Amino acid sequence: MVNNISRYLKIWFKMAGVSMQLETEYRSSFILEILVEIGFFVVTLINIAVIYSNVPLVVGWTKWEAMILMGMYMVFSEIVLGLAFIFNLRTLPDKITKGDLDLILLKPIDSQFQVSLWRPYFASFPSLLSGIVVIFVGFAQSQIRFNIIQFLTFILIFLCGLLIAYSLGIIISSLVFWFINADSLPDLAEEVIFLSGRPSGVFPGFWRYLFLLIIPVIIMVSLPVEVLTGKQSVLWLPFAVIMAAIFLFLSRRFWLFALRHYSSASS
Amino acid sequence: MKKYMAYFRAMITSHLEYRGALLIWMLIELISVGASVFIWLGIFSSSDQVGTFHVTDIISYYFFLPIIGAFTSASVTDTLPREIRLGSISAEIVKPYNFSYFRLAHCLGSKITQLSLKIPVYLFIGFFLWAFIQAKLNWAMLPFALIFVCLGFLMHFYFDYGLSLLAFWVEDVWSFGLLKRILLLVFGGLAFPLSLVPKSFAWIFDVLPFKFIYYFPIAILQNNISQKEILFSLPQILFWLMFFYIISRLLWSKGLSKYGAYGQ
Repeated sequence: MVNNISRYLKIWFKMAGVSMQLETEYRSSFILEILVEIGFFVVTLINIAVIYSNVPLVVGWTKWEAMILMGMYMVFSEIVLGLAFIFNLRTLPDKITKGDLDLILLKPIDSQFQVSLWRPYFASFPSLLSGIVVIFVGFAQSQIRFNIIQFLTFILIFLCGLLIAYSLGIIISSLVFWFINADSLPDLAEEVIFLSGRPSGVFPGFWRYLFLLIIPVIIMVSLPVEVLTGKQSVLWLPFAVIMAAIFLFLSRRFWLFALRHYSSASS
Repeated sequence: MKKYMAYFRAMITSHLEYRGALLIWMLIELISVGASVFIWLGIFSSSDQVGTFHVTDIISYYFFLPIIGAFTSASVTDTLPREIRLGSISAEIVKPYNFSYFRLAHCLGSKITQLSLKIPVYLFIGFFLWAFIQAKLNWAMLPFALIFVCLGFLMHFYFDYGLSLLAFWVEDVWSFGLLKRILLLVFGGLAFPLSLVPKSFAWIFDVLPFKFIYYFPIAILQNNISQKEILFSLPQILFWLMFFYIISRLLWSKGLSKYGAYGQ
C-alpha cells in the first residue's frame, strides 16, 4: 500500500514537471491564463463589495466573514480544478470519443488516476495565492480567533471536502460513457462543485438536506469555514469523514462500472 | 441571402443532433441561476429591500436572465479561435461569401435550436413563478425590450467575433471565452443587477456596452427604465454595434493578411 502510494506520487511529480514545461512553453498564453484567473478573483471581490454596500449581513455573515468564505472557496476550487479537472476530467469525453482511452487502459497504471490526476494545471496557482490573501484580510478585519482544535478540525473537514468534490467529479463525468456528445458533463460537475462557495444558511429546508447528504457541497467549504469561525461545532468532523469515505467508495465503484460500458472508438 | 439561409438551416439540423449536450448546458445554466437565487433569498431573509429591489424583483430578474441570455448570447469564441489556430478556416475563406455573415448564420442556426429546447422549460418554470414575474412585468415595454434584445445580440455577436479574430495573433485560444465571461459577469449584470452598484461607480457600468446583453433588456421588462432613458440608450447601443462591426472588419482584413495554413 505504502509502496503503491509512493509510486503514484513519483509519477504525479514527474507529470507535474512535464505539465509546467508545457504550460510555460508559450509565455503569452501562460500570462493570459493568469490574467483570466486574476479576473475571476476581481469579480469575486466586486461581487462581495456590491452586495455588502446594500446590506450589513447575509444569513448572519458579516462582510469580512464572507471574505474568509470566498477566500477559502477560491483556494478550494483552484485545487479541485487545477488537480482534477482542467487537463484531466475535462478531456475525458474527448478521450472516449476518439478512442484514446485504449492507450490509458493498456498502461500498467490505474486508469482512474490517469484520467483524473494525470496532469496538474499551474496557471491556477496565482488565484490560489489570492485566495489565501483574501482569507488573511478577512481574519485581520473580522478579529475572529480560533484555537488549535478548531484549526485541525477545519483542515480535516476541508480535506474531506476535496475528496467529496473529486468523487462527485468522477461520478458525473463518468456518465459520458453512456451519453454520446455529452462533452459538457465535466462542466456540469464543476457547476455543482461551484455551489460550495455559498454559506450553508442560504439553503433552506429540503435544499439544506439535499446539499448536505445527497450532493454534499456544504461539507466542501461552508462547513469547514463555519467550524473555523466558531459558527459550527468541531463535532461535525466524524460526519464529514464518513461522507468522504462513502463518496470515495461510490466514485471508485462507479468508475469501474462505467469502464465496463466502454467500447473502443479507435481503429 | 439564399446561401446564408441554406447555411442557417444546415446549422439547425446539425445542432439538433446534439440535444443531449444542449440539455446539459441548460442544466448548468439553471444551477448557476439557482445558486444566485439562493444567495439573494438569503440576503432578503434579513432585509425587505436591497437598493430598489424587493424579493419579487430579484426572482423575476433571475427568471428573465437566462431567457434574455438565450436570445442575446453569441458563442463564436467557443469555436472560431480554435479553427483559426488549426487552419481549418482555409476551406471557408475561399468560398464566395462574407465570412462574418456566414458566422452570423451559424450563430443564429444554433440559437434557434437552443431556443426550441429552452423556451418550453422556461415557460414551465414561469408558470410556477408567475406571481413574482407579473408583479413587475410591463407588457407595454415588450416592443422596446425586443428591439434592445435584437440589437444586443448583434452587438454581442460582433464583439465575440472580433475577440475570436485575435486568434490570428495570440496562441492561447480558450482564454478568450473566459475573458468575455468575466466582463459579462461584472458589467453585463450576470453576477448582480447593475442598479445595485454604488452611485460613485455606476457611470463605468453605464458607459460600457455589456449592460445591453443582459441587464438592460431585463430592466426594460421590469419597468425600471423610463422611455426617455430608452431613447437616450438607442444611439449608445447603435454606436457600440457599429464600433464592434468596424473593429471586427479591420481585424479580419489584418488577420487574413497574416494568416497562413498548410495541408490539403
